[in-house]
Amino acid sequence: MSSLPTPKNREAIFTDRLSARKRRGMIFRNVCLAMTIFGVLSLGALLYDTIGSAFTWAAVEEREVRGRVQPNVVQTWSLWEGIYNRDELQRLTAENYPEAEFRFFSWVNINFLTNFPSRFPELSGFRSPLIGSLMVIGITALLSFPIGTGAAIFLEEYGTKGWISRIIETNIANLAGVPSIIYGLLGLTIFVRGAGGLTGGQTVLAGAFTMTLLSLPIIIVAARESIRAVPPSQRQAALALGATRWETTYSHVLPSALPGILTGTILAMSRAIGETAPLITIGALTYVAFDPSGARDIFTVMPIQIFNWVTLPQATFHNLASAGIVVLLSILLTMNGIAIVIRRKTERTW
Amino acid sequence: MPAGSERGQSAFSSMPRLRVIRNTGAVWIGMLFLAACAGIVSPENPDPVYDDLSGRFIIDGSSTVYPISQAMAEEFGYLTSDVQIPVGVSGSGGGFTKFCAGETAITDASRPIKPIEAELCEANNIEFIEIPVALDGLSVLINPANDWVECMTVEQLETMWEPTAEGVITNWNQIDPSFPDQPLLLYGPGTDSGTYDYFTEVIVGEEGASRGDYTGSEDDNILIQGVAGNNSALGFFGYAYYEENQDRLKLVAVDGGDGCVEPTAETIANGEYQPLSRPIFIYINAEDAARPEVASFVNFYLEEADDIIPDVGYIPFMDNFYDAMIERFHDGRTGSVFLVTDVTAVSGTEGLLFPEEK
Amino acid sequence: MAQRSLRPEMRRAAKEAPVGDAIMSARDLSVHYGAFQAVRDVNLSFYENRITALIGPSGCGKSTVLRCMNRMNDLIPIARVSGEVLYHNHNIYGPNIDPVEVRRRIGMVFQKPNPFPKSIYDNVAWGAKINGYRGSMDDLVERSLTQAALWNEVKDKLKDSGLSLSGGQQQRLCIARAIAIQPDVILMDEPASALDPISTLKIEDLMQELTRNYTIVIVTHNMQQAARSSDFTAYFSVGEDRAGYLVEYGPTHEVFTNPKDPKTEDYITGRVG
Repeated sequence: MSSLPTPKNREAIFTDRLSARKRRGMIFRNVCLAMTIFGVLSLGALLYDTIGSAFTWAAVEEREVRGRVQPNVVQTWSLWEGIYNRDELQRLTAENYPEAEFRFFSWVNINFLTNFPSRFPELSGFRSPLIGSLMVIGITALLSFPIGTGAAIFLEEYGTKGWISRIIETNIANLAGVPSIIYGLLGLTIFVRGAGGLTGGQTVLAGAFTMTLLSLPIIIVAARESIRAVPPSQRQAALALGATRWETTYSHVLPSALPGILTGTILAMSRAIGETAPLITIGALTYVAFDPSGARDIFTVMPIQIFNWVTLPQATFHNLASAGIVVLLSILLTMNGIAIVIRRKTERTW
Repeated sequence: MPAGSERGQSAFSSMPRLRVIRNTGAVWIGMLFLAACAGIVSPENPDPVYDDLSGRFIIDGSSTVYPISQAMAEEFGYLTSDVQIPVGVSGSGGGFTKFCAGETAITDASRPIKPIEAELCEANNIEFIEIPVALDGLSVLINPANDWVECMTVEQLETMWEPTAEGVITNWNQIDPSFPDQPLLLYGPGTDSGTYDYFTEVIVGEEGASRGDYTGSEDDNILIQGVAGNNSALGFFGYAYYEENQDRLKLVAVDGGDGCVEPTAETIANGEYQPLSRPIFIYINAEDAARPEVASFVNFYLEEADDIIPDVGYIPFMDNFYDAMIERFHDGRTGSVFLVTDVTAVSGTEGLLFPEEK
Repeated sequence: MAQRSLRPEMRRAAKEAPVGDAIMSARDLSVHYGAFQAVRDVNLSFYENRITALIGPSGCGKSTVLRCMNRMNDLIPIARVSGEVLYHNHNIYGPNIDPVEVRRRIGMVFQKPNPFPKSIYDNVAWGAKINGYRGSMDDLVERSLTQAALWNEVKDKLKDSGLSLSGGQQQRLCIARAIAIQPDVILMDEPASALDPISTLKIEDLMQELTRNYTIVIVTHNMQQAARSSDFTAYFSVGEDRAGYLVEYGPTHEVFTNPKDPKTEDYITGRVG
């Protein structure tokens, strides 16, 4: 019941039902909250699992490998398990592995980042996948950003609004949803076999070109949205000063649209860095024990190595896979961080 | 690493009379060095000079053989400073496609080359040398809570897995009336894998013929989770996966006609565990085999097989088999035994030799 | 009709001086948006160094006509312009005329102030820079801001963002920006309608000053503003076919005290509008 007097011109047939409406609003808000919590919990579960497996408590023996004494992890327990049951695990170690030392063993360590992969988990490193991924993503970003932005500018600023334009728009949006393996097959035909002279075959360059194709639809869609968001009044002001179309776009539209375009680029790069199937198709290998000598050399990438470790029977390789995931996520976060910094610097308010 | 000459120089360089001996010794060692390079040293016992080797060649193919080839490439990489051997995991079939296109020097295969693949190689003028490198005992595994099965015959497995079993054989007591009334949950590799090809060949009798309603995956670890988590589940995987998960799975002995045999390193190696003891192969491009770094690597592979293969979870052949293989490689005997004898799966090492090698 | 008296120094010699040639004129100008006719057969002239006001109720096509003057209607894909617009006797809609050149000579100030999100200095300098200004940019910026009656307020903060100014200051910044490229004609589309009364007065005073160097055409809703500030007034209205048309055009003084068309008189006296 309302605490205020009813307005005297109100007809009696208004049924306010204020409390029912408010309740409905509350339910809606709680559903949204539940969705958010679900998302956060899923992410949390992923991080919990991965971190628990990459930073472990382990029973560590020693063995000789190629003339040197190296650790040999015979059993691992997740980080979280060991926090609460340290004594219990210590006892188990002493019982089952009398030769072993019980200690904290982090699979993400400096050796992991500098060593090449090995059949011995404790000596295995992430070096070639890490370098390969960084090279592929670096070249992809350098290529896809200008191409995607240029295409978006052309479609938005210079394109006609006819039916051709609509067909192009629909197709670009659809391309963003094409399974990535298709890009791999395309890349194999065009970049590895067709343009083999330019790329050198199954190389970083072929991989980067393929990933560029994959990223372009996402960047173009995001860039077009950002360009559209620039108010027409800005364009009109520039044109009214006797500026050409290009001068208006370059000096006013593009700088204002830049934060949105960067967001699209980072989203595309985040997807590209996790792609496995298309890169395997174009010939990325799994075990590479040397640094690529340049962009025209053989390579491997992080997701491929992670998947390979996950499928091996020895349990400690699964810990390595988690360590690889931790590194991959760190790089993703860094990339996002850089994009956010660039966004802040170039952001303008109306 | 010609250690002799270096040691000679450091210890003897100061004394004049011994300097003559040192110099003469160096000359002799140098000549031996040259002789080794020229191949005058007996090919049966080569002494490759690793330091001189350089180059790169690619290995690709089966994910089953990958751990062995990768281990070999790693160890060989430590002995040489300039040889690069990247290894891929495109699958047996994918590996042959690339191999017969001339893109790889060595292909890993968990099954013999198929006639159609051999034709493709021939069409591209590629000759290959077939070398079986190890044995994998395909193990039939059940959940530890399953106490009604200890041994199964090939016929029982066939009943379980043949194509006509799809939708029909869904309960354990259909395999044997003495088994309890429990749903039959099957796990196995996907239809793309060489493991699947081999299993269907020897159990069902025809490659690629199986029921479709089982849980398949390319990642054996997922299948292990499935079997370990279900009381009435059954699956087949490589022996290495059983070895690593013994506390979660129970082994089933297989009766191939001569009684129940459990897969162990011995029974697989000596051929007792039949018919699921399968050879896994590498195929080497005959042209690439002439390159010194490739030849050296393959020699190393076969010589170190005894030491490294058990490490990665497979079973090495008997020594004399590797000797025969080294000879086959040196002779450059191309072609596949399976195309010559028209048999597509064998048990025991007899079936892996060419007629003239026996 | 109350008229605000002009300050003596603001009273222009124009009231006494003869009117020169028309610097711009529209001949039989019609505009269609797709199938809909927005403006019908406008014939109008603008005289050098004078202020011409276009007045009339909403939707009668005043802004459309204004935008025809510097070919801003080109930006609307469905807009079709027929007739001629002459600038120094050249039809700016002729086949070989580049709209970019047209807009270099005929500038525009919009209803809602729209400075660029750049510094005040860059706002004024940008147009001159792309048009290849060779002289001292600092001097040009100072001159333009002074002419726009903004210099004293911003001379210490030229590096600040143009958006940090108040509404009235932003509009004067837009005027400074327009005059920096030294056009002949400045078109103003209701420049003060979004501003407070004090800023409005400042803009009106500014317009008077500007006529020393520029010709001004202004669209305004505010009759009193037209009456007190302009030299010529054009009254538009909407016909029954919903197309706008020019009802009456003449010197402001006459239009407001002695309108020829009864419709004009109705609008001026507030009976319709």
